[in-house]
Amino acid sequence: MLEPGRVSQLFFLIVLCAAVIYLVETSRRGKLPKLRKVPGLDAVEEAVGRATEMAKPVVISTGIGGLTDITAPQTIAGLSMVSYVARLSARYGARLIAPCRIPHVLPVEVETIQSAYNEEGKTEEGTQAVDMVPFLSDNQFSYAMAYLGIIDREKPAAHIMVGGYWAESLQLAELGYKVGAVQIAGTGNVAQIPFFVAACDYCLLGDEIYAAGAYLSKDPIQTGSVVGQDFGKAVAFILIVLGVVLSAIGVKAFTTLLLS
Amino acid sequence: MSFYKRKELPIMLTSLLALIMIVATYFRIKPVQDLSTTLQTWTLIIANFAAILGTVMILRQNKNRIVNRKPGDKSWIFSVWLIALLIFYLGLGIYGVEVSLSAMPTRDPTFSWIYNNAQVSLDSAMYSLLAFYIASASFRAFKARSKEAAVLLVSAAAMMLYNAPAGSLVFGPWASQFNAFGDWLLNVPNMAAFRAILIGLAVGTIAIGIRVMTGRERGYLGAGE
Repeated sequence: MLEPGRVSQLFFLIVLCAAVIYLVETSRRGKLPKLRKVPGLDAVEEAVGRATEMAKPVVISTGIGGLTDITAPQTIAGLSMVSYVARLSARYGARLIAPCRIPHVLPVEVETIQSAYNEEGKTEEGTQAVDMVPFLSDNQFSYAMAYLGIIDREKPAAHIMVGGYWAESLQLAELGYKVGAVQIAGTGNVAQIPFFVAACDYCLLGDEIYAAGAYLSKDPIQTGSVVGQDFGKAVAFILIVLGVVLSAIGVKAFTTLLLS
Repeated sequence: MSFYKRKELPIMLTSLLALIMIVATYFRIKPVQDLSTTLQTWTLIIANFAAILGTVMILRQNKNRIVNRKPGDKSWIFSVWLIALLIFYLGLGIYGVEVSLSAMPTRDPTFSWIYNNAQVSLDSAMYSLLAFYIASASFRAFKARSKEAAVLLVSAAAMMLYNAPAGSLVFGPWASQFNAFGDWLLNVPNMAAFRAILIGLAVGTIAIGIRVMTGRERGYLGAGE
């Protein structure tokens, strides 16, 4: 009944699920784990504050991925960042612009911003959320061109990009640099990370984007799941070391077991 | 609050559908696998309906830009141009469907001509601009300000020479050894770092999936954190 070749995958998925749920519950009971400092995330508040002082807008985007495909986790991570930045913008009175590419992400983003403004007691400004999320185009480069136009015209003081980015990543980051914005970026697309590292002030590497929501909100449930992530990485590390050692000494049983 | 407005309903639906997809991936149960295929087709159809929402939004935003135009600012003309083109191209697509009696508006030659000669060319032009952005970003990034930056500079220089035809000329008789070094750099240290990031991302994706399934991550519902 089990799909051949996926038995070990299922086993490790169950182990990881159990670990995440256990650690989430432990955190909820008050045993809050300590997260290491992530400079890129600490800089978000400073960047929004800078934009407020300079009377310039904050531009934030969740990338060009949607919520219906493999990029969904990155978009969800981006939405967590949008929520946090919108709260800060509402608190400090900074103007927020969140260019959007995917039509079905648009209403989610609008409601996220509106909720954030409501939470900060800025209900009236929150009703303008729809104008803060311009839908540009669902074509990748049309979106990129319109986005570049916004950066060039508005000259934001803070530019935050968290989500799925492809070839447009460097174009956006480079123009952000040229207009003097403090730039914080992170993506799950490994090929784009070097571009963000080269052009941005702060870069969230790999799974740091998934930890961003937990780190910024200090929510015990999310913090617990981040520790679950670390547990998963530790398991992967042990498996790699074991696999290398056993393969080197000619024991193939372990590899065969993992491929089962 | 009425039942359908509560967050519990979409969370329950998400969890149930995610469970179906997981079961279909790991177990060979025909009805569940068929259901999973049907659900994926539904996703495509529903996501495409969102294009209507996009059209309405873009019309609304550009209409507002025209209505609220400021004296001296001529950028509203672009909004007029955009709306005019949008209506024209939409009309052409519908006309194409009517004429060719097919569901494909691209059957209309004018529609295809505009797409191939405007949209595709502009896309390619935009993509090729990337080369210049890469040059300016590299110029800034590849400066030996610290030990780490120096390593980056040396690696980048080696990779550039490895990829450029000039590399073989520069190294002359040692070209093959240099190419072997380039291969090693690309396939060993570079690949190791990439895979480490990929493993982290995969684990992070599973963790976020668990949070979504258990209703602990609600960002996708538009409620923020």
